[in-house]
Amino acid sequence: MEYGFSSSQKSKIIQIELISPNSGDMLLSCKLYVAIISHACSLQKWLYSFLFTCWTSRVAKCAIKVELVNDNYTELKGEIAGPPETPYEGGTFVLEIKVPETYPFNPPKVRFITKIWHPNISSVTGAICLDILKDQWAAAMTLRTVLLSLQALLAAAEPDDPQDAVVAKQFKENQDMFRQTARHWTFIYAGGPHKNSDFELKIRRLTDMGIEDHRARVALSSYNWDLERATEQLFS
Amino acid sequence: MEYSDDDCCYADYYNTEEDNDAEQMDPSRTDPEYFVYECLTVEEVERLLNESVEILSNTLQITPSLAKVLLHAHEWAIQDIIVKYRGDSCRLLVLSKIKPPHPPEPSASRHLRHQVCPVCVASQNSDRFSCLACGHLFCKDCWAMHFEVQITQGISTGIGCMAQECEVLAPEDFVLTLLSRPSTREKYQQFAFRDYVKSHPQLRFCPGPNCQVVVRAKEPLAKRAICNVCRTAFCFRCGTDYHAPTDCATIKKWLTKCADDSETANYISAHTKDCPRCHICIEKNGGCNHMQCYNCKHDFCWMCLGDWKSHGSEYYECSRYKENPNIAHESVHAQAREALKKYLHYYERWENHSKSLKLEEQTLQKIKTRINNKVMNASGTWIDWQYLHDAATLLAKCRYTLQYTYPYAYYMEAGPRKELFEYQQAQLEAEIENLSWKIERAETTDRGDLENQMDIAEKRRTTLLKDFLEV
Repeated sequence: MEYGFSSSQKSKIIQIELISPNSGDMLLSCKLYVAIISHACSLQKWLYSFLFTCWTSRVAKCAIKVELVNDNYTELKGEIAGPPETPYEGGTFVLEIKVPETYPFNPPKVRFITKIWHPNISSVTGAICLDILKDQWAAAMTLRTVLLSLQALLAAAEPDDPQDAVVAKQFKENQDMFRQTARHWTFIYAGGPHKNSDFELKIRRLTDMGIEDHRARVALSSYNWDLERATEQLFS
Repeated sequence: MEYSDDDCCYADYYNTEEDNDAEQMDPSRTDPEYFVYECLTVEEVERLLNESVEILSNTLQITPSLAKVLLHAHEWAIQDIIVKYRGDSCRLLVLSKIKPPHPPEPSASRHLRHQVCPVCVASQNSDRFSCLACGHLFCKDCWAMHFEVQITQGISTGIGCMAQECEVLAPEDFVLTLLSRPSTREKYQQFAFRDYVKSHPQLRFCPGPNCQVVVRAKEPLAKRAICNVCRTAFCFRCGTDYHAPTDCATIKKWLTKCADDSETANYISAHTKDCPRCHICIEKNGGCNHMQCYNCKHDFCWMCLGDWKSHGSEYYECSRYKENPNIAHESVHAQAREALKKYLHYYERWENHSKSLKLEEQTLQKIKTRINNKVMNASGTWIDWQYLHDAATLLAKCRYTLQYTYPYAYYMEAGPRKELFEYQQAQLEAEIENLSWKIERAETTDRGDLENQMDIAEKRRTTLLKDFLEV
């Protein structure tokens, strides 16, 4: 059994990509094209995963979405909508998805491109701490399960297994402050609807002193929007 | 080792009779480092493991493959497994990840001629599908690919089902019937063997490079085992370099600390010091800490640079760290400096003895050439000179223990016990330096003197271990 695929197979995938968004039953068309390229196991799975996710996203009114980034098929762009009744509501979060050659026997590598304030996601790199992306991955999972799990993670953080210690600490000690900060980050980076003029003002105070916008936001967020302590940290 | 009073009164009674014959005494009581173990080859270990598998599979009427999963999950405690199996077999199988917590629901598609594999989403004939006890069906190609990927990542006994949130493990026979490539099958068996040995409380791999030997001991004690093939000496419990009198946890802490603080300690590991009298630069080229300046012939101690004369007697206390009694009242900075000073004191000695050991290895080689020359020149026979070789070997053994007394002392709380320890440590160190000095300078066959010194050094070593080695 071999991983990877030839150039002729690649051209077929492009065709599928062009055809499939218009066809009525995505799953059916998926099966059809999978049958055309039946050699590479990982390719089949990838395709199925990809198309199924496209299909779900149409049905579920764009809650999750996957797109190709370029034509080497190992890198995808994912999108999830912030779940309702969370600080992320109304935001759209972009993900970088790298599909390894051994997919689906090994998990895809996923990280947030959109900056986000969340205990299990690094506010600096976007790295995600989620068990199914590590040791709890199962070959039967798909890109769709990954994106849905990430959405669930946004709705229910696990501060005891943190990726970002600062955020996790705030989450545990000052829930209200955490919610406001996360909502503010959603507004700035993910197109969320809730503007916080108080926070904006404090950031402007720091940017006026020559601090870069994002740096100012990180410092203020880390110190519960205490302008004095954030300034101290930035200039020490 | 601890003995209850009841156990030892009879032994004492018999031992007193045999007291005049030291050879006959129970070595576990006279030698604090006594340890019973055997070195096994891979074939012998396989036979040993297979015996356990056979007993369990015969007693419980299960396949050898399942018996292996059970044994691996329960540290090879056969009796324990049998009792649990007879008590509640279902619970045991679920806990050992052989069966799922809830019995699988019979799916409607099971009996169809064609099925879609959830992994590769290809539709295939039903006979191309397999499942574990959990009933999750996948096509055989995907199972094989799953195993290949897991085995390349070094996983063998831990390979599980491919379904989401399913923890059922794939037993050996299931994996081997689906794996076709001989190289992967072989790898799987190697990795599984490694896992079995690691889960077995009586077995340890020899840590020697490329050594295949497995050491077996009835009890997993922190005692010295020596591989009979590559001669590597290691602690049976933690598998690292033998470290008596320090225990496994302490030596780990010490080595981590040394690795972290290596930069700080680097400056002291310079090989040269100046002679305290004539200030000529001296490089230490032998193991002995009793130095004699080649220029002014001044005798001094390499550790403290003090006059050696004060070291020859019981005043030897170069090994002891003198704590500042007022430290609690000092500032944080002073305390930090004091902590570093204390660490450096112990580290310096630890590092110094480790270097001395290496230098004395060279001495051993030199002694071998010297013995040959002496014998060739007909000054004494080879047997006459053999004692020098024995002395050097003993010196290495003593210095090794001495090296490992420093981490022990570093983590010891101040008090009378530490004082006793440091007293004994100083005694041992003094005798070792005497021995080292005598070996490096032995010119005539002054065998009696050297043998006497050897005896004293070894006595000091065993006394210290007897009093402080807690295993």
